[in-house]
Amino acid sequence: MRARRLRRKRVGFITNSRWAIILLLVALSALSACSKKQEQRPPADQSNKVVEFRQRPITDDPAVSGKLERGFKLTPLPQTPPEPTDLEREHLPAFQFAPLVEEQLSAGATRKIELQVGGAAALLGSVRWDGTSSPLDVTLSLDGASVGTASTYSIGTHRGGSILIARPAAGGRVTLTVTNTSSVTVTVKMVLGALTR
Amino acid sequence: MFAMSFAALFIQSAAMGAPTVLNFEDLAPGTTVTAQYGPPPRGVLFQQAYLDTDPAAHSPTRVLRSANPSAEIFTPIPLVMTFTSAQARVKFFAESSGVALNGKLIAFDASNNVVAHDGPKLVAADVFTTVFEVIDPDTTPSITRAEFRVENSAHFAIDDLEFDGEPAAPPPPAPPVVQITSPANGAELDVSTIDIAGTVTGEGLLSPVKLTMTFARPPESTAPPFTSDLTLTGTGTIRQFSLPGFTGVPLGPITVTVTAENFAAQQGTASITFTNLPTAIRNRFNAEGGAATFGAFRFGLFLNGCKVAVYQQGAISTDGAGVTRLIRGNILTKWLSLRGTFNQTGFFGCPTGDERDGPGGSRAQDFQRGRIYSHPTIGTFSVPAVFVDAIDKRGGEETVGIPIVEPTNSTTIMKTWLFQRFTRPDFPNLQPSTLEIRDMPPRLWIERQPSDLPVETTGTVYEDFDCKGNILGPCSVDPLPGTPDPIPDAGNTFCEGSTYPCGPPEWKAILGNYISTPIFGVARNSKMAGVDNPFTHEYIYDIGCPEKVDCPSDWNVSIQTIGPQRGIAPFTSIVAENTLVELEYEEYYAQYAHVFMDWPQTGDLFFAAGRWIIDCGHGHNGLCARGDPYRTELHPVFMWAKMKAEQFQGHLATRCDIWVNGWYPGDPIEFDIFPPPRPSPDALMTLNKPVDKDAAFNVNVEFSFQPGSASNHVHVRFTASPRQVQVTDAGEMIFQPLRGYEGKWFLFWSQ
Repeated sequence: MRARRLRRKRVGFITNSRWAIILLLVALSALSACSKKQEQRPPADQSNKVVEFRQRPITDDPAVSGKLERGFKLTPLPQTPPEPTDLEREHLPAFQFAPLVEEQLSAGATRKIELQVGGAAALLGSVRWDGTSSPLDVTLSLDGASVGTASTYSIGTHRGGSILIARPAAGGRVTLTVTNTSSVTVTVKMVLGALTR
Repeated sequence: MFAMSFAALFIQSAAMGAPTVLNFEDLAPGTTVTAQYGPPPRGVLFQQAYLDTDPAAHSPTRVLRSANPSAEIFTPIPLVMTFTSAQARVKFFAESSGVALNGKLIAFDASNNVVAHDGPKLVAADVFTTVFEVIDPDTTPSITRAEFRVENSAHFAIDDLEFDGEPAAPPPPAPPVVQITSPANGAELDVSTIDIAGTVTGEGLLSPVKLTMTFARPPESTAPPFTSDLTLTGTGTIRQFSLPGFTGVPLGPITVTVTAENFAAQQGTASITFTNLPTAIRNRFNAEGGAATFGAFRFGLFLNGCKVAVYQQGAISTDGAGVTRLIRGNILTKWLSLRGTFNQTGFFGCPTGDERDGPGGSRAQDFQRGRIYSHPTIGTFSVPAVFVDAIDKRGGEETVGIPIVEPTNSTTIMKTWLFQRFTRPDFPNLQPSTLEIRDMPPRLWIERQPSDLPVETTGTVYEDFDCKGNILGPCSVDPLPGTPDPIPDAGNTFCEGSTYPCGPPEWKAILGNYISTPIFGVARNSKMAGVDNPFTHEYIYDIGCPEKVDCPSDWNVSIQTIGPQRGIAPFTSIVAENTLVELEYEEYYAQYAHVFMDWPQTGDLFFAAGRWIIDCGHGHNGLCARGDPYRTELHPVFMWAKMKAEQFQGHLATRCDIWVNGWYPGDPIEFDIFPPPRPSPDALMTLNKPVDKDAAFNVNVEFSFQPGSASNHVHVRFTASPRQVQVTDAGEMIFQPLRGYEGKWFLFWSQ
């Protein structure tokens, strides 16, 4: 019993008060599932039986309904440290990062982050936004010249992003720029990194 | 047939006397009549005639029949009367049993010449009214033998036999003396064939002599001792008998008794005892301590492939090559109790190995028809050979267990031909395993909570094998397959000979981004990742990651595969430079399902389907190499079904939590849910599941009980309309909502 309790603690990620409410509702739903009306189907054959019961609807799940969590950062319960072995295995390589940006960007506004790279490197830029599913204008440039290719996506009704990769032969000043080309204020998360080759 | 010559000797010396009349009232009904009427003053012998009562007897109640009425005799036989002195007249009243038939009486002299005859004439049925009489035409009586025959019949009778002539011969001066010369008394033999021989000394000897052989038989035997009539050969007062080439000599102490008789009904008897045992058994018996160890001999058995000497406290077998095996204790008791169709002892066959240690302090021994296990607290039970074969080929008794009951079958229409349960004493928390042969055409099923995995699981794994129409086996059980060759050269084949981000995407699909590749196995561990790449993950969990770019996003379940994996062609293995396969997905999208159905746990059985990829983000090739193996993953998973056992409505059930998510491209995903091991051969399945409208959104779910005619699992199939989510250049599959399935299914057995 003790081992099971410990495992549960380790995996108990509850992100915020909204999740806490959902958890409570789910728990109540699960507890009452047995007492809900049960429907007996005719047996599939003469020897077996199927009993169907009601449960809370799957559309309560934000990942199904599309009512996704706002922002990018989720807060787990404090007693859920990552496994040390995972920290070792999953270590990021010797990336050089620009300071991470997560902030609101009003319609029409532009935000840049920069990074000085000393030589040939793999450049990675990631801009993710919350507030619109429309694509925003995102560029990655080296010493003012646009570099790399972008993959732009959207999730549901109010999220999107653009991932850029470039592999220049020489270093320089790397800039990741996003312009909010939508008509609403969005929250953007910008990550810029370089891995010297 | 006794010799004619002695009669002639006495005819000469006897004087004529009054008629002799035999009404057969002086012997008990049921007596086999031979020489009882030989001594003077009667002087007539019969050959195996039968004294009986008959309400139609001529006087008063008893008659002499040609044979026992209950004997099945298929050839006509005569009723033979041999006189110890010459007679002038013979008369009696005859009956034909059941139907009137023609009868004939013929009288012979000592030289076998016909002296006179009466008939043929019709013998009335079932009444003694037909008189037969022969009279010697000569003045000097010469009839020494008379034969009465009824045409085509073995069953007839006479009464009130009357004859007159010379007085009956005097009895011999002494009874016969019998000597058995072979085998020698006290001999210890190892034979399958023997010659029995000896002599009989005396006057007036009758042939044949009777041989009786007694030996210990299995307890179910009701057969009388072996007997045989041996013809005396030679002439005079010393004559010989023999039974050459007697085959099938029993095992153990054997007593041979020979009884001889003279015409005066005087008997002489001799007995010898010898012991017949294979030398190998005799040597093993002595080497193991002899009678002090084994006790007295009980009986011997000739089985197909061995001979077995059974003693009070053990048994010794030997095969044709002289190899001996011991059977002792509880295993011997069980072995003796296993009887065949005809209740025969030794049905379980020859031992094929010595008793040995089994799991959990048990003992085990192999026999031709299976294996017997004995455990001090669980008991002693047999396992049929078809199950032993399955156990040995699919992981051994350590993984299936030892029997807790004798094999049985269903008493209803459940088509369970052979059923048995097993426990693993070293794993008391695990449910008993079940082996059964079910259905038509029959298949053998092995149902168990695995004990041979690196982690404990309460999920149940079923395996099945064709029995080729044999409801009791044998079945074609495949040995455990070897480990298939891993995907070769994954770094060059899938990751451009480099490592992300210096060339390949972080995850490279092996078969395609939108192909649901299945996996089945057990979760070795299940936890949040330590750090995830911020460029390829939407959400992060802030666990105090100092740089904010070193936070985790994914939930990782490491799967130890069980059995061959399907859906991976043209490859034969689901791994590359790894042994475990990680299921990885952004935890946020599973958060609700995790809360509702519980987080995946170490030890859960997993069926999952997802994008099968090579992780190019940790490879060891190229300038950006990080020295890690190129591993395969399902990343992301499109669905999983995690299974374990738990109590549900008073039954031990398999709980299967099913999660289908927004990455699912819609191609068919099929898997099976098995209940815990079947508890009885008549158990039926019950499935509890949520209604589809609560659990499914934009996915279709179908299920059926399989196999159709003798179900033992539920087959589940998911489909959805095709939907291909975006995949970035870095390999990230972008999640999309508006598709999913979340439901807890419970599957259990009930009577």
